[in-house]
Amino acid sequence: MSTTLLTTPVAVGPIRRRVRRVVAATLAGLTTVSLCLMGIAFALLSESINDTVDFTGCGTGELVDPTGEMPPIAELIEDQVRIAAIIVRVGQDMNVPPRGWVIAVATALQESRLQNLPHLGEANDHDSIGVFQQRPSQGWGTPEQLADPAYQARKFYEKLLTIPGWESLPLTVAAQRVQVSAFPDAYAKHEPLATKVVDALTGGAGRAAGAEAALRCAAGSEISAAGWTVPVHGPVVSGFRTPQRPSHHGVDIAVPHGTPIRAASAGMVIVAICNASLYGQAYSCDVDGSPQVLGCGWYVDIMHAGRVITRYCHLQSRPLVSVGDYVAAGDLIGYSGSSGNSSGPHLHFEVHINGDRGPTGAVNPVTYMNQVGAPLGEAV
Amino acid sequence: MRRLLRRIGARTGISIGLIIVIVAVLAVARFVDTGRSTPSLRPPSDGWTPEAAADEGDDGPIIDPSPTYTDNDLVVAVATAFTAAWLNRALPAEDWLDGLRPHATPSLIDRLAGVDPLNVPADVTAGEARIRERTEQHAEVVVPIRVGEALALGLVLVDGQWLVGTLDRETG
Repeated sequence: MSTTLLTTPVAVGPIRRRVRRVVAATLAGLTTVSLCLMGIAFALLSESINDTVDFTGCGTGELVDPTGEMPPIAELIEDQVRIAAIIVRVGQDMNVPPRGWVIAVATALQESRLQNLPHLGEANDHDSIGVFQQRPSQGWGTPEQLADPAYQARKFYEKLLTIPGWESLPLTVAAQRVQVSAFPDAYAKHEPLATKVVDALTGGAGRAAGAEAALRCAAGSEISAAGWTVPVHGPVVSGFRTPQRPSHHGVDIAVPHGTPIRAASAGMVIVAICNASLYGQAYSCDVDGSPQVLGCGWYVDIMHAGRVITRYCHLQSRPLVSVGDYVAAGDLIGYSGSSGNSSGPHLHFEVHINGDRGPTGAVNPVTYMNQVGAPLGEAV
Repeated sequence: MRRLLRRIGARTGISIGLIIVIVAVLAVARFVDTGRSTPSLRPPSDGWTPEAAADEGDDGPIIDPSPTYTDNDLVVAVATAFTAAWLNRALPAEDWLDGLRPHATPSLIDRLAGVDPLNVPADVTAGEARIRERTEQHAEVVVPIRVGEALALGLVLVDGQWLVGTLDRETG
């Protein structure tokens, strides 16, 4: 049809010219509108791509230059970031895997807030000095040696590397074995900021396999340098607060009955109970629930470093952990099932921040887990 | 005239075609976006379909929004007793640890092994223990030990007994 039209000779008259102008104007308008719409469409697309692109790097492998330009970190000033850069660089030079860098930076954040502290006189804690508050009297080195942050970092790593299995220990345990502090759990709360600093300095090494010196993204059941792992691999079949389920404060991961569920990170178990009722009466969690049953069945809450909480719902049977247990990332906590408000076997997984177990504390687990190098989904 | 109409018709057609392209682009964009948040809709082997999941409302736990607890005094008493034993820094290391043992979980005692009690930075508390957050079996208790510095204790109810499970330092 159009071929005929295009090959038809055109006799131009005043009416036709006007019509043509109108049509041309209309076409131009429509083209503008369509370009705008396409722009919006692509902007929407690229925005959602950026969400994930931000979290895909797992370290460039380049050596950190502590004398170069430092990346901006909102919580720290440049001098503090520079101390962190020295710590990471010494770790790189010693071929320490990236989990060690996060542990070292978190320890330094607690001991000195990443400052090379001199002896503070009366206010000083014994003869502790420097970034890691090491003590000359305890064999860490002479005061002259301990004036150098690179020396201090090397001594820290040397002791860390003597601890068997340090890569898979909770940060709180690994750091405490080196520092032997009267506040054993003071280091772990810095794990998120330490990870952020390491990520900024290295292009995302916090998301790399924590125990491998050659940087690559953590995969399978590996623990990331940030200290996180995937609780179970499986398709995310229902997202966080979707339009269909605005009060769904977690994600549903479809996995068959009896699939091992693992702690996403180290922490203390603070809940391990049956949460189910039917028509106002308590309901068993040892049988499959249904959409009519209320509650999340056999479930576990773990309190992690920095008052982050993870939640694991609908377990098939009583959890393998109890309140008060201190678990490491990847520890088996129970088996998946369909107890409570559930129409089929799946893990309902939630992440909360600020120690808030309620809906206001919940954050999108997909985003959070991407950030800490343990992306949810099927095994790749 | 008829030719003119056909020509306008063709241009209108092109316009409509363009609009269809735009709608298609938007639809694809939306589809791709949705596809990212739900990477795979393959059901697991024992027959559960994601369609069934979409029918569920909130399948999280039912938590009492304003619970009342009758054992808050007990929680504070255990936190206070633990703190008193922890501040006993003049004791030999083994005796110091033995003093903490009745009020702490075994895993916390493990993490405190080897600590020199002289590293405890105070002898006395600087204020009352206070519950900050609590659930049925877990409580966060803060005990001031110096100006601007506090012990942050995580207590857990284990076999009917409250014990300190985590020990952190808070400043500022």
